[in-house]
Amino acid sequence: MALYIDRYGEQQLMHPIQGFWHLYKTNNTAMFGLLILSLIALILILSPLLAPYEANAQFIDALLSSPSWSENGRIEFLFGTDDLGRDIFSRILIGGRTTLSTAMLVVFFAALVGVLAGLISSFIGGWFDKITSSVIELFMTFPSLITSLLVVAILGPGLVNSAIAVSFAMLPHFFKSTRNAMLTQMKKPYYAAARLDGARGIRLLTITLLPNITNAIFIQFSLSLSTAILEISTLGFLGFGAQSPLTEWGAILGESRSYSYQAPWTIWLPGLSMLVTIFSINLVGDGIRETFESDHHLR
Amino acid sequence: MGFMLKQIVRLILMLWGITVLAFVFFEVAQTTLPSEDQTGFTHFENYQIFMSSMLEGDFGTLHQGGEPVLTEFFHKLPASTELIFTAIIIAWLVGLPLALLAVKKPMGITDRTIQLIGTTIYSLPVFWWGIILLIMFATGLEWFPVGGRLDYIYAIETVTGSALIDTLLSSKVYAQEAFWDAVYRMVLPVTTLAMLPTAYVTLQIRAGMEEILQHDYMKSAKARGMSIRRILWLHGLPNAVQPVLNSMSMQFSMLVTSTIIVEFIFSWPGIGHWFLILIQRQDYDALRGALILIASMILLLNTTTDVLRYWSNPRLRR
Repeated sequence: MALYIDRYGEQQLMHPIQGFWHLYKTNNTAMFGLLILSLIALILILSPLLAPYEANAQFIDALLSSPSWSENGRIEFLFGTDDLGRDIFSRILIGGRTTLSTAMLVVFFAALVGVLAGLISSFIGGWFDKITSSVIELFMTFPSLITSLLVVAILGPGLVNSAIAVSFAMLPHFFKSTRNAMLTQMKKPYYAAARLDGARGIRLLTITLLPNITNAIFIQFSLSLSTAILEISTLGFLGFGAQSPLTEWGAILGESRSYSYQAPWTIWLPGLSMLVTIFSINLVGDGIRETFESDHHLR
Repeated sequence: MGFMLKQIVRLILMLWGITVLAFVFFEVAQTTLPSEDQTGFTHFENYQIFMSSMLEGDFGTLHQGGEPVLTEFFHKLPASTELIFTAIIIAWLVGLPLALLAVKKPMGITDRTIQLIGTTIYSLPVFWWGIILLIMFATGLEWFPVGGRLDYIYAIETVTGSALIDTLLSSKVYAQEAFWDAVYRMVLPVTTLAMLPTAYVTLQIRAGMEEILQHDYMKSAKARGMSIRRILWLHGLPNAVQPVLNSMSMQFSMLVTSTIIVEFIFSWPGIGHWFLILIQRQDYDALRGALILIASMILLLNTTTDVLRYWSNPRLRR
């Protein structure tokens, strides 16, 4: 936690959020990532206004039109069109909204359940914790895509079901990181002191321990977001995610795969926008982790 | 010896746990199916039937074709392991030197470039990258074939199931030609698959090395006039490799996920491709068997690396 000198010339501790930002903004790479990410977020939020056409609007006179900068391209279709004459630029903007918002919901849900379970299990401890964590560990031997594919196989394809599947596959990671953080904190003297002072139950959990493990949860949260985007779009790509009238980044790529030879731009441009988004999220995530790790007071 | 015994007991318990988990998962799934598919047994009776048939080596049969899941699994396994192991070998062969190169001058231009490329690879959607390689090198430049494992004109008898080894063992006139065909067809899928583990190995070892270089024993090694290469390879590396080996199990899971996608894109006849087909057919019986077999495979690999790690690290053995 960063220190600052107040108006009386005394050293003061910054508010944790302020202190975090103070350290975070010294990290150029992370700031660059944050800049790009905010730009992308802004564009995606405003995408209904920015997108020139509806995602599913077809232009039969312009099937597989090249991007506007190539020789055969048309200026009305900035990134070209796909085999059904749909504007790729609009589809990327509207599809990105679906992918990103779903990913955020997925991470939020997985974090909510995973963190709660991790807190309770490690707090109760003993046999209960041993059994729960072994089950979770077993669960983690199933590769994430296999778990989410199985859930989708049972629930049926679709955006909501694929979101459920991905959060299901992501739960154990939140459980594990919460539990690890809890176990580390519960070994520390302040915890023993609080218990000797007579704190117990919910109070011990929420007031003594919880503030000290929020960092671990935040780190896991920021690292999971890019994984969630990748997994949701993978399911979309394989045809188990968002179904036809809905547009989604992975689904766009999955549809374009069959004519990637004639129209490589239908693959390049949606994929590149995914890459830039995930890249900036990763930069921000790394920045958050490094900030927490570089700060000894926050550990 | 106590360690080995503990590992074996743990392995057996976890294998059993996997079967229970898979059973419960599909049992819950069956209740969502229309009632005519249900057998009328209680859950416990179902479990008894499931367990006893599995102990006899019956992991269910395919809905379509009727082959046993076990046979089909081992029929498809070599194609996947061939991909995965080549990818792992490449990851270490490329990642290790890159990490050492990067850490020679921390935060120098080489180091920064390597880190940037590593982070970019972390952000690559595997399915997109696979198609991009296909567009560029298979349909575009026509350097490599679009998919498949071996050209159908070669009739190579199956010995080990691995196309590379089988073609080398084969006594056919065109064996050598077939071997190169197999190598040729592996280039694009393996490149796609190896990207992520290579970046992982590079970045992890680089980070580990950077930390280790701060230690006093490294400084004293330098002060005694050891060459930087000797310091890095002999004193730094054995310590930096440990955390990467620790996370081997995570890496295997990650690799299996990528393998499914790569096999799908390059029509590679392995486990991942097979699994996707089973999902599409909604063949739950076979899926349950396949899930147990895949998870057991990963578990076995993890236990093996744990044991190897134990034997290679004197600090753990004490």
